Amino acid sequence: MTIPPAYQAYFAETDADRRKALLDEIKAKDADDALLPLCRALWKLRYVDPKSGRRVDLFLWEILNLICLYRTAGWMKKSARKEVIRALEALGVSLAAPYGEAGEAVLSAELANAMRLYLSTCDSKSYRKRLMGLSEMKTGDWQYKVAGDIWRLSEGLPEKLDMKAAFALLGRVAREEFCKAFENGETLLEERRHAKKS
Amino acid sequence: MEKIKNNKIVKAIGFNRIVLIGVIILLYVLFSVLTPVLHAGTTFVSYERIMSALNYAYFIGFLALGVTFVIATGGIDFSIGPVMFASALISGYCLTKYNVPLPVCLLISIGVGLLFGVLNGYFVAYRFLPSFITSMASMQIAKGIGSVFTKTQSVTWPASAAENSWYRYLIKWNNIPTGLILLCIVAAICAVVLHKTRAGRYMLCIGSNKEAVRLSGVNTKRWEMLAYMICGLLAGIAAIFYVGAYTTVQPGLGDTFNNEAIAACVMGGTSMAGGLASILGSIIGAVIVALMQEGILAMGFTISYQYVLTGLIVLAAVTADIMSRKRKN
Repeated sequence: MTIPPAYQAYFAETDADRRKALLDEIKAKDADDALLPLCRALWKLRYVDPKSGRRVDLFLWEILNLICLYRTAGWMKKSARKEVIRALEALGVSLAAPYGEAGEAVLSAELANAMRLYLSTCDSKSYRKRLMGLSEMKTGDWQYKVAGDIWRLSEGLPEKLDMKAAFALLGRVAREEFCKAFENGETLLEERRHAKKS
Repeated sequence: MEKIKNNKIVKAIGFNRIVLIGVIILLYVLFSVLTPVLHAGTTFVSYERIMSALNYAYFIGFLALGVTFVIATGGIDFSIGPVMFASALISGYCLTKYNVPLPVCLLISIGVGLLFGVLNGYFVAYRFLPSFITSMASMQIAKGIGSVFTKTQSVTWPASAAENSWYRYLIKWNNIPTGLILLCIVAAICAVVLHKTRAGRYMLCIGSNKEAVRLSGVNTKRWEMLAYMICGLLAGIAAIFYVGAYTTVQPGLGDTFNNEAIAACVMGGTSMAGGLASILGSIIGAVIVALMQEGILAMGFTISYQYVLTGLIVLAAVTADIMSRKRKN
């Protein structure tokens, strides 16, 4: 199932406040839209801290958290698996499940949105720095580093924890967004895969 | 090789760590064979040698543990050695000149380390100064403060059997290496903090992608500062173990230990790029550094050779770290 045109702008936008305004616009046009409750619930899940109520981006955090988990999940895989399940909950997997195919499409678009934001942060100075910030990575090394993050999220962690099914959606979205952002995305991911095997 | 790497036990412990343990065994065998040859009448295989190497490993281990947190966030702390010395000098001076009770002096030592951690953390996290520059500056400050406070005199902590010498039991008690037990306990706490708590995850993620952590709503300044505070705190604790082993501290020194602690970290698998840290690796690295120091002295060479070797190790480890992150094609 594809996302209805009314939501295209919403899923293209990465700013939380503008996204909220776009959702309000959709509601004003058609308050009975079937996807609206899920989109609103996902927006709240992503941007509102359940404890303090302040503005956060929990989807972005969980993406980063899962990439980091690959490195820390050496032993004690049971607790790492629990953490993954909790992270996938925080990414709205169970929230979208009752909506069936339409729910999966919306969640997929929301994850793609978060993934795009993550990839945009990879162009920051702090991400490209080398040796305590004394120098910056060359473009090739930087792309390779981003590919490493995507590989860990889409293949490395699922393989390590034997949770390929649970990661299917997130992994697919991560790979797709990476390949959209980088022309040589597939090659970079293949290099990463090969480096891990050799 | 692939078969070994894929072995369950090897995977659980980590291939790099097994290699490092192999290096320890290899070094021990090498020094055991070479010491009698190069320095006639001397032997490396003795209880005293092991205890002496451990004495060195304790404080380097604490320094390495601390700097692991900072490197995990993508920063560096070049002030740990002089901060350790400043802590030992100030607290020792309070003990010997002002008769401050020993437990208070131990707390002063930790407090001085913590203060330097706060100073470094504040300037790096809240004032956005490069950690390289900040820690270089605080290294000078620590050296200066230690000298000024003690009026450029060395400070000698109470020796064994003297009054107030019970702090030495932290190193060795009835031939039991209590220092090793305490180092392992602190390392275990550090491992839990770094790998199993939210604070540790924030620190690792800051080292991996600081901008993403900031955008996700995490107060990156607070957690970055905490890493420097832990580093300072552990430098203060290292000071106690240093005086526990050697009793005398001289002002204006300590910077040679920075390299050794950083070498221990990088050898152990902590990445200078941030986001990847190994507490167990840092401890193993500290043991290697200590063993090399002991071996070089046992073979009759001066400590200067140790500095050369440590420098080479840092170069090799950092180069290996950078090369592993380079794109192959």
